[in-house]
Amino acid sequence: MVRQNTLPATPSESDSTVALAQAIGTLLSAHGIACTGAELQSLTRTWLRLAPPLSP
Amino acid sequence: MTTPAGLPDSIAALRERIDSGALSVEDALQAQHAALHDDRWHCLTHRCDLPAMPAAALPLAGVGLAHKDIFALPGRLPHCGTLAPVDAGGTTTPLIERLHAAGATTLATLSMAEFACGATGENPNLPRPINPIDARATVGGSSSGSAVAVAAGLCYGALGTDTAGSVRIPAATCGVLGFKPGQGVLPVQGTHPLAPSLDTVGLLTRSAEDARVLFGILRGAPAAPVDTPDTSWRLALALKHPRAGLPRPDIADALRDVAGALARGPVVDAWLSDMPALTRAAEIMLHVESAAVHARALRTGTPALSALTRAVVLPGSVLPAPWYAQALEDRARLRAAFLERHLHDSDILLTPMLAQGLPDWDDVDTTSPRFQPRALLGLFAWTGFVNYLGLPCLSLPIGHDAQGRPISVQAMARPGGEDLLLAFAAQAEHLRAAQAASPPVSA
Repeated sequence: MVRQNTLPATPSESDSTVALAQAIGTLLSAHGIACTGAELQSLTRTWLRLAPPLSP
Repeated sequence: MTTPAGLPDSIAALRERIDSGALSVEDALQAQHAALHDDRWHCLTHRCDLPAMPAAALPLAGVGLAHKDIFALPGRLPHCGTLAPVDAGGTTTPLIERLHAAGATTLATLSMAEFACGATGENPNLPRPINPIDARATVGGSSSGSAVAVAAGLCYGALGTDTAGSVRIPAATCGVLGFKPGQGVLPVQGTHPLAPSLDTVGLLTRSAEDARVLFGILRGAPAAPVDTPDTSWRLALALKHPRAGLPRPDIADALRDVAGALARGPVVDAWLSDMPALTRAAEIMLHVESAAVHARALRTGTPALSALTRAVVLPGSVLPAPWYAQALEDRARLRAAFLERHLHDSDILLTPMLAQGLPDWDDVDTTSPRFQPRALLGLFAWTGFVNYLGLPCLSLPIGHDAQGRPISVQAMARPGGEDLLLAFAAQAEHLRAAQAASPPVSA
């Protein structure tokens, strides 16, 4: 199994989230991997959710 | 009770009839094979021809099994929930060869989420599997066909794979036992990988005794028969999920009741505060390793991956390598800390399986207008961290809710605790049978 990244998108994305999405899209392109806009949004949310907590 | 083929519904009872001469191996297998022609539950992907009859003296002669379509079989590569054969890194699966050597017969291969990527049996390549208990209820994944076939009585047991809950979740949705041995206890050769550091071959059966018999063959070392119904256990029970909160009240009550009835002394109230960190590490490993497995498909589009598979695989292409390295590095330390905290003074740790109950298909099917993401997340909220820890674990039905849908408990033990878990499951079944035979006395 088992993950289905199907949580709804947040209503508005911050500038930093948009920048992260752009960076992820660029990285995928560099790997030769195509993805849809919805997949890119989902990927960005997954990246943010799994990011380690910032040290104080 | 009998199966749709009109045979006894346990391996021991079937073997008793064969050993007594009341039933031949050939008649038993012909009846099971014929019963597969009525796949009203949409759980089969391929019916196997019956091979030469095994010698009746073999321990599993006459026992028909069917397996998730992720294992290489003699003459057939797995399809992994796709419409074409897939390279599984070999042409045979040693575990299935062990079963065959013991006399078992593989009757069929079974449906699954595409490439084992799904907490349900949703798969755009295959018909939606139907839950034999309640057709409106979902069938969990990814070993969806394994759970359905066992629950429907089409086979005596089924192999599945469990990377983040894929044996335990479907078992819980269909009211059967789902057993995931510890990491590395059973070999995975011949099995298409999802995330090799987490992948575990597991078993789905209708009883703990059937699981014990099959696991003994798979492991190559039979476990002692369970004949101690008065054994009691040091139990811990974790009811509250650190993120999702408490289970539905009737489910919490069912878990408390079974723990209280089987415990030696008070049940320890466990709080798994470490679960979010363990789940995060498990998820990183799942994404990164599955991306490596499917790297060529992501680049070339061949084979084409469904949206559900891509949702699992794509993140691993972009997650930073240090996150994955850290998850790997932390594994032994976090496991040791978990064992010390939760399984030092307890033999078995219990948790809910489906804490909010078994949802309808329409609540968890991502293409349904009624789709509720949180209902889908609830299917695997309690399972993934166990694969990161590599612990033996099982999902066991303990009752039914007011809708008649199964309530299951998840039980885990220390590494090497497979026999202990199966003995516990057998005793829980014994308790349930005794309670069913003795209805409560009204005042």
